[in-house]
Amino acid sequence: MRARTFRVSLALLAAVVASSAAVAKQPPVMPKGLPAFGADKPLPVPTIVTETLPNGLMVWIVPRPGFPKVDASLVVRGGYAADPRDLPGVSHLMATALKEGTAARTSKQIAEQMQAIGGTIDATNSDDATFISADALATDAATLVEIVADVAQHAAFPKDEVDLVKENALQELKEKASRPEFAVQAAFRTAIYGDHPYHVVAPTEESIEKVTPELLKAEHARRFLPDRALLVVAGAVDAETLKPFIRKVFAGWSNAGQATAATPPSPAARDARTFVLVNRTGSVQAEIRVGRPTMKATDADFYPMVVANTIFGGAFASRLTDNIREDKGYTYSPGSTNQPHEQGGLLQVRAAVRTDVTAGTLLEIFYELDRMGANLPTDEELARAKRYQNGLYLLTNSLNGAVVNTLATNWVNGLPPSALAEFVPKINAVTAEQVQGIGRKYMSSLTQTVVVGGDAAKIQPAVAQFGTVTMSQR
Amino acid sequence: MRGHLAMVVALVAAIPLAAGQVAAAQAPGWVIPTAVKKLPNGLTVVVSEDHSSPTFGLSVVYKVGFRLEPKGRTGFAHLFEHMMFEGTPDSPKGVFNRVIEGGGGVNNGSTRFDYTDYIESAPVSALEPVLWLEADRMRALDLSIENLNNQRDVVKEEIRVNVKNRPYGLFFWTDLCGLAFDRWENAHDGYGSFTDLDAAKIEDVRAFHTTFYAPNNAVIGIAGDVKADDVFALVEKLFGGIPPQAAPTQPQLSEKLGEKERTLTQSDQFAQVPAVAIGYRMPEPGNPDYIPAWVLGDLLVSGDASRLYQSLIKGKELFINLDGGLHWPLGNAITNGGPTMLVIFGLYKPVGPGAQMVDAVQHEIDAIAKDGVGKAELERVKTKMISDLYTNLEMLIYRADALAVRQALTGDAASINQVPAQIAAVSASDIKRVAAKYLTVPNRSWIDRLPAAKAQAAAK
Repeated sequence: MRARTFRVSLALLAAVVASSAAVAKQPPVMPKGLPAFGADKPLPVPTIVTETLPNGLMVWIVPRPGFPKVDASLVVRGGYAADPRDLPGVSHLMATALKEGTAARTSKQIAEQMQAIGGTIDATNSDDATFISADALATDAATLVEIVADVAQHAAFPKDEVDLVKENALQELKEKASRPEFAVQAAFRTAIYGDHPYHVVAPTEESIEKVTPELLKAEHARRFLPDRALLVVAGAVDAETLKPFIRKVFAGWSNAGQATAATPPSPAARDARTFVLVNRTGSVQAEIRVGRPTMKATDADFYPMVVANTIFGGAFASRLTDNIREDKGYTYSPGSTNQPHEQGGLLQVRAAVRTDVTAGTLLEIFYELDRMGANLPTDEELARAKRYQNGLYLLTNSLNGAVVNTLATNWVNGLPPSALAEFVPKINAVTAEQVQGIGRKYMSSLTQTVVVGGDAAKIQPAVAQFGTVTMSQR
Repeated sequence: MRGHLAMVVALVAAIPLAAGQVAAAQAPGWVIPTAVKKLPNGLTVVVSEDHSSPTFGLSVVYKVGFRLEPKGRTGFAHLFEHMMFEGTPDSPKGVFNRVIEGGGGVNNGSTRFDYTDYIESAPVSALEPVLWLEADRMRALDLSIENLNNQRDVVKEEIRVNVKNRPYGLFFWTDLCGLAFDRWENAHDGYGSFTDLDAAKIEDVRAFHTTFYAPNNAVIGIAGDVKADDVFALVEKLFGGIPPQAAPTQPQLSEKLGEKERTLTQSDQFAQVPAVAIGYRMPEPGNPDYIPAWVLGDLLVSGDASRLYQSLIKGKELFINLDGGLHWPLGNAITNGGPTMLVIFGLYKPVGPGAQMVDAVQHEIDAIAKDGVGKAELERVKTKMISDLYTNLEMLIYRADALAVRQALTGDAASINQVPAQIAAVSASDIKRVAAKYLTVPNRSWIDRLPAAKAQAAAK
């Protein structure tokens, strides 16, 4: 994330993801004059006002006086994993078309009314959910909530708008396919999940072509049910004033309709390391992904994994970045994440490296992964990882949009509103032995799936030295 | 939770003003307190108190960017930025990130046309060590050839990731500047050529640090749960002993408006969808047309309600997406200190040549130059711009940065509070005048970027 020319505001907080064997054995000596950290101030715990409407809609409001804006997100269960088998990725089209008109407003009216309150509205989907996210000047919180409610309940999917969404989605798919990471990400998910719905990363050309307004209405009806929905609002608003208004604009929302089927549990990790290549002729880099299924956010291993991943590759001063960037200069922005899903979790190590160091990079990634289970982390590493996560918590939750997003995502992953305040104590309770245990259970290089995208003629021999390679059919 | 704030009335909580040298604008709305102090060695410090979270944002801005890098050394300002993370005589490589992340913080750096900034954010318990590290690298760097070679490799991977291995390859920044501008300072590729990067020597790094990374060429911005007087004392203690240097010479940067349209067609090895980038040369900050040009840019291309979105993505259905604005993509109107462009960039459907897309954009612009814009439309755009300005200042790290950049570019950090009123003051006649004066065919440069197969066919 660092030292680059572009900046993405929140990406910084999700900051990436450690050092060669030599560096790891000898951490740098701290300078003599460096002042010590001061005493930590008490942790602010956000107030979350909760209410459940008679139709089942849950409402979480986080009043935050000061900064004159407000953020809101209406999240419903059902994302890519809920798409019909013959319509993979239809969630994306449904979400894109949501704000293109309601019974009462045209697409243009929605855009202009949002602009007039200094805001934006967007609908997106994840594997497990669909989100309508919006922001505005806090003085216009009522209008914001009303427009979100209208879009959620009364999206009309006008034919001309759906046709344009389809046409643009086909072009966007072509554009995405030309980026090096896209085909690799798709192949990685397929290699990990096989037929399980978590393999879907985008709509296919075929599913885009099949879409009709009626199909999108049906997918909308299966997802937008109030007893499978949560509204989160954070910003300079008064909860007691806002609540009656929310009750009013969502009062007519009913649970008529058949909900999407439950997502099956995520498959387990593979018994043996597997290698998949994705060809991109002329590529000057190799896009590397290494990973496997892990655990849900509600699993006892989750918080130890947050700490283990921070030490491994989830921070800049991590073993992976120290090794393949700072020591070897193979890559610009390596990293690792452990992303929870409703029905599992996914460990993913990534690096884009110049083609001629593909084998060298894989060797170092495997080494660093196996080192996590082989040894205890040092006291310094453990303390630093915990302080880093605690600091990120504080920084992230000083932002309206980030609080909304964290709460909404926690809900999707089965966590209550109180999970926000429990994060820091749970991180602080993680022990060195637990971190090593995570390394043994989830990070052995022998249980990982490896996908490499690049010029196959050049990278195939580099990858093949580690095991049997299959070519992705994508 | 404090107060009884009604949601439909004004919800702007007053922020306590910092003690001492405070200047706060009287404009309605949200006001950011600022306190400014200049040290005897020329280092300027801007503090903005906000006690809503026990954290801080910090930015150290050096007044050097792409425009001032040495000729024959394209990309050097950015390569140097990387060297700032490679350790110092007192803090070996690796200390910097371990201290910041161990303090619960995050950090980044970026190189722009007119400045290079180094930003951090963390719980306030880490403020003193983080400031110590910034003073340490302002004083001296570890100038080893190993560090330089390592970061040269990392920068090359960065360029491969963002340019050479990616469709479109940022042509709407680097190539468009190269086409539109006449002076090397404005026109050259700020990411740099591999030849120039390879030519960079340790002596270059040393000279650059001495000349441009002196306290009198820097501004520190701090926003958050701090007291201004405490910060001034701390900065004085840590930075006060760093000697000033002779002020760097400032080259002539100004550009004339174009007299003849400039165009270029490029072939893209990876792209599957054609794209076009259009740039109009614009006046510099301080010109009375500058803020209207910013508003005009947003009116044209910012968001779903914008003119070009509604007419060319919807409407004529020519484009798949559109982006741009004044001083896009490496900043916005208030992070620029020199000649710039109003840029419009979009991927378009393969229904016609790039020239047809450019004509369609020009047609919308000409309509504004001829008929002007409606009051309601202009008000909506301005409201959204002021709201966006607030959003950009929500994170303490970006608030600190915006204040330091403002101080570095204008000499008056507090003037950031006047920006909403400046936006609000732009009239429909300003928009019409600026569209007619600047967004003209002779002042236009554009690049049509075609997928390789299509480019070959077009060449035949």
